[in-house]
Amino acid sequence: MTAVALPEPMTAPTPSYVADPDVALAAAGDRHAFERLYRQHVTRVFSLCARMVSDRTRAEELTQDVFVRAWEKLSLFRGESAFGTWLHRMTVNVVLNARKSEGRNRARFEDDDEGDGIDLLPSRPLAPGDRMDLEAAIAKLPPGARRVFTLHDVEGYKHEEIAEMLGVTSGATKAQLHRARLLLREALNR
Amino acid sequence: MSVYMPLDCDGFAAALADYLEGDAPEAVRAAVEAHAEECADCSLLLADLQAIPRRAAALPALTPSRDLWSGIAERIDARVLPMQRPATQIIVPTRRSWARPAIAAAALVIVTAGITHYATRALTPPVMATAPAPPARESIATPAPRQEVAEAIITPSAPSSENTPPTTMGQPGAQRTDRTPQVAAARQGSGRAVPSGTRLVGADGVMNETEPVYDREITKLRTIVKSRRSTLDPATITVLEQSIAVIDSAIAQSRSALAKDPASGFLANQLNHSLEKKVELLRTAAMLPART
Repeated sequence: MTAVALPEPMTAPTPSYVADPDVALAAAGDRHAFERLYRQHVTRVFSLCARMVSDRTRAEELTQDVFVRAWEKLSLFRGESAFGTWLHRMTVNVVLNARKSEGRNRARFEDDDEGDGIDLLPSRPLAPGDRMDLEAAIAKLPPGARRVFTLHDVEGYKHEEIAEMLGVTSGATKAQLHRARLLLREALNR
Repeated sequence: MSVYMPLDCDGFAAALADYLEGDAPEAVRAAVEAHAEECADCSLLLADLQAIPRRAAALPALTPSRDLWSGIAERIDARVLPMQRPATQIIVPTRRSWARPAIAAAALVIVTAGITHYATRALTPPVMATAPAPPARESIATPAPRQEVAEAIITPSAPSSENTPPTTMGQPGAQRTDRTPQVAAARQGSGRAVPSGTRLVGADGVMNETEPVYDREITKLRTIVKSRRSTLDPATITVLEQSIAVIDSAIAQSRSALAKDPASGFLANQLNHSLEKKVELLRTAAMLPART
């Protein structure tokens, strides 16, 4: 008897909101469900904001902006990706848009990385053996290098994705990343 | 990148970025690794740079210094009107020098049109506009014999938020179109059907029912904006207040004209439009990101 291999049943990808009923409830206007989503994701959103802007107070404001925007846009979430992924991408967009508007407010076009790593110098001299930890060293990076380093090495985005977010070439993000790592090494070994 | 092999320390440094990204050709990779084996400093540099991404990926999550939910809830709880146009199209108080004249011009047009209509209304037959219209998202369905119409039938020139009554917003999806209880009750009570795309407004019709709703929305939004005042840019606040003053002036004039001609559907619609503009502006201000 010949065994006949049956075709695998076709299964549509399960939307993430099916897996997480709070997403569906929140999309339908359930504020309590949305609060639960907030509690579940706030640290990751805040971590990304804090590392990208290097200012915890500002990061808290941006985190609030992210969740307000998520509430506004939740009805547009189709579940093609995980809710966390969708929220994470929205966080990046909110931070980058804030940076653009803040740049306009300063009424000048500036090179984010002007200063050539001088920010890496600690505000007070480090005592012998008092090494800066990685978190503090990231905070001292020039803004452009910090954003690329955070998105690539901390958050795991690919160069192509980062380049698209930032509106630059992937060659530029690679150069920024290498520079960031060199500056971090210098700070960590100082 | 020009790499001369075998590599010296400068060549090693020049090739390192591509090596770490996996972009270096095989020959360059081999040269980098060969140099690292014989140069302690470069070997240490390579090890450090390879360790940094591993350490970065293992960084712990950071926690805000306070619970941010209350601020978020405050901003999303308000019942506000849907914004059918992108927020950027609203004349929002940023540093655009044309914003104020544009608002003033819009208000002037509204008021002038209202006064002109009022002044010439006596010379025209009773108000009845029934031109075909694009399908409205929702319309108040109340056809009535023309003789019975106490209110004017206004046909929207385009589907816009101008004729959209307040909704129970403050929830995701600005496109949702929940009706206020008052309007819904009015619809249910009428028991009549009206052609698609038409909307009834009148002194004792929709306006009387929606205006208190607008007022409540405005009050709530004003409270939110007031509480966020310290977080907004002062120049933004200044322009916002000036814009609201212009709209308030248009609202006052529309109300005044409507008091003299309570049956004017046109004036009611103008008032409706001005109130909605005010709500949209306040809503935008409530949602504005905090300044740096």
